[in-house]
Amino acid sequence: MFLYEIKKYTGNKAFWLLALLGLVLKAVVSWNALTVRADFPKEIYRDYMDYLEGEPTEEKSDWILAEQARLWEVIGLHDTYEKMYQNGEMTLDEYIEKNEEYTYARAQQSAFDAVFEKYTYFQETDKRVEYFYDLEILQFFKASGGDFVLICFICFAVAMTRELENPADTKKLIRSMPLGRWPFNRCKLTGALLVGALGSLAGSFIDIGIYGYRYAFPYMNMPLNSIARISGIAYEVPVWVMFVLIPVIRLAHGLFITALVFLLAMLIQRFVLTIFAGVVIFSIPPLLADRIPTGLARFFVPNMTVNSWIAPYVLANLAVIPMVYLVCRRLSEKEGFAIPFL
Amino acid sequence: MELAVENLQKDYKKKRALDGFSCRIQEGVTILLGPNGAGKSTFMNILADLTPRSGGCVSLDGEDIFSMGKKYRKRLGYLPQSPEFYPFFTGRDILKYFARLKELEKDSYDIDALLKSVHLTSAADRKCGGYSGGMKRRLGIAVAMLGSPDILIMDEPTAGLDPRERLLFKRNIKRMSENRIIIMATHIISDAEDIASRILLLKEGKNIGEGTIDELTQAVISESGQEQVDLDDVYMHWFGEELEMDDVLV
Ligand SMILES: Nc1ncnc2c1ncn2[C@@H]1O[C@H](COP(=O)(O)OP(=O)(O)OP(=O)(O)O)[C@@H](O)[C@H]1O
Ligand SMILES: [Mg+2]
Repeated sequence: MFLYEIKKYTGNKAFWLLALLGLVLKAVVSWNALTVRADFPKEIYRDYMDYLEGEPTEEKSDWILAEQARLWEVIGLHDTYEKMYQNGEMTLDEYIEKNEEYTYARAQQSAFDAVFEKYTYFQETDKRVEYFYDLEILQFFKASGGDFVLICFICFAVAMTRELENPADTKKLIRSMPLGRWPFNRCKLTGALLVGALGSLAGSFIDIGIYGYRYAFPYMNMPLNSIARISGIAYEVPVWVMFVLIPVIRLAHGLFITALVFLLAMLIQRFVLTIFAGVVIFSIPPLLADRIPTGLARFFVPNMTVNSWIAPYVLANLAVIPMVYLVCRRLSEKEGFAIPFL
Repeated sequence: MELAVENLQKDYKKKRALDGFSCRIQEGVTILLGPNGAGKSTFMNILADLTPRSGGCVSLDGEDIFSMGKKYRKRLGYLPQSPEFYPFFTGRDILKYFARLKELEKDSYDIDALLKSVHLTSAADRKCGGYSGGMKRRLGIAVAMLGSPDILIMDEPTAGLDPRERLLFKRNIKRMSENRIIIMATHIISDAEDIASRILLLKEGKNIGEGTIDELTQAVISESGQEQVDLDDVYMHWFGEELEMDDVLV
């Protein structure tokens, strides 16, 4: 029975079209999301980090403070030089040279701010940390949040397959059979979860594939705690662990979404309405995620930091699945619409 | 085997579709006759435990069918009025899949024989999205007959079948009717004449008459005094009174 459930997806040309469209869209979105954008010159930051690479030491701290002082000095002298030039105490050539120094120092200063932020963080933390160039890795974390393409894919795929059985007489025909109620819906739910899981994994593979293609996988063994922006990390793990964990977290979240969309499809029993409801319910919280950092909405947004909440979060996502099975079991015995006004 | 229907009632929001309907249905072919909207489909849906009833009860050999659940459905074959199937499944896939849903043992059914009995052998491996209306209905008949159930409930199985297929269907039903309860709705009087063991007349959700063809014609003869009465006349006697020449478009 389960194999036929899978066939309801794989036998459908529209499903393959949807899958292809999803993969292409996901690739485009990920390619963009994984493009590192920084409000300072990346090359300068990279030079700093290459120079500092490794564990923090006294000498590195001294060097950072010295560099800070130097930058301030160069920048601070700018006004003086400008006055000197205006008063004729300096030739144009000299002034141009000083001005170039100043401009470069300003650029360095903006990148150095990020370095200094790291330095401050390293001073405060008691966790094992190392200096390394982390912009791309940070970008990967940012790109791994709420996934609109996956949400749409799941809503369409589940609603599309449910729609095959929505005509009243088809529903009756199936319900008239010995296994046409709960066992039938149980298989359907399991089939949907499998499709949702594959969709989620495919998305993660695309992300990691694009990341690997563009940046290879440097610094994978560095301690994850070194990245200040995703601080609050509770565990001492190397960076690569997150490249394994993120697909797992997203898988749990993908299953969570699929189970709830399945429930929606079963309750609403209308193709367009199911998709609309699903897309709205699951894509609004990620859009508002910055404004509502806590509470129920958090559930609907993949949580991508390995803080101490991550295990409960993943477990809560997974715990919804058996609950959906139970609700579907109750609904399976009922005829027709569970929502009367539809 | 006997299905006993007591005082069955079904209310939709604004419409009473079944109104104190009672009857007893024994083995053999029972045909439901009645105009559009009389409540035939509603009655069959309740008999197949698909639609909740508003009142009354139905029992099979004394046992309430609604509490039998799966045990009852295992003995049931059902054909809805307008069956639709997964368009990208072949006819054979459909039968195999529904055999699973009917929880049939692998060797308890023969898909090729079933396909042959509804003349779908040559179309069996084609996607049923491309089937004609009549072919879909024949596939539906095959699905209903799958696992040769004790109780067959078919809503207008002959609608849309060509004369040859209809003949084949009637032969199949006749052959199956022993030891089985077969309940069919139809609007085609000649079908009823050919295969009915008993006929149930429905009007506005009520049972207004039942019996063998002979019993029904005799009743009309004694009431109207006509000499030659066939089932068409019986139908018109019960349901034809409102038909006036004024109703005909000129
Ligand atoms: N789902 C529904 N909601 C509301 N009313 C319904 C519903 N299904 C049927 N009815 C009403 O119940 C009455 C009986 O309908 P039913 O389908 O049982 O008639 P029928 O005898 O099968 O007619 P036909 O010969 O056209 O198939 C009709 O008046 C119909 O309008
Ligand atoms: Mg009907």
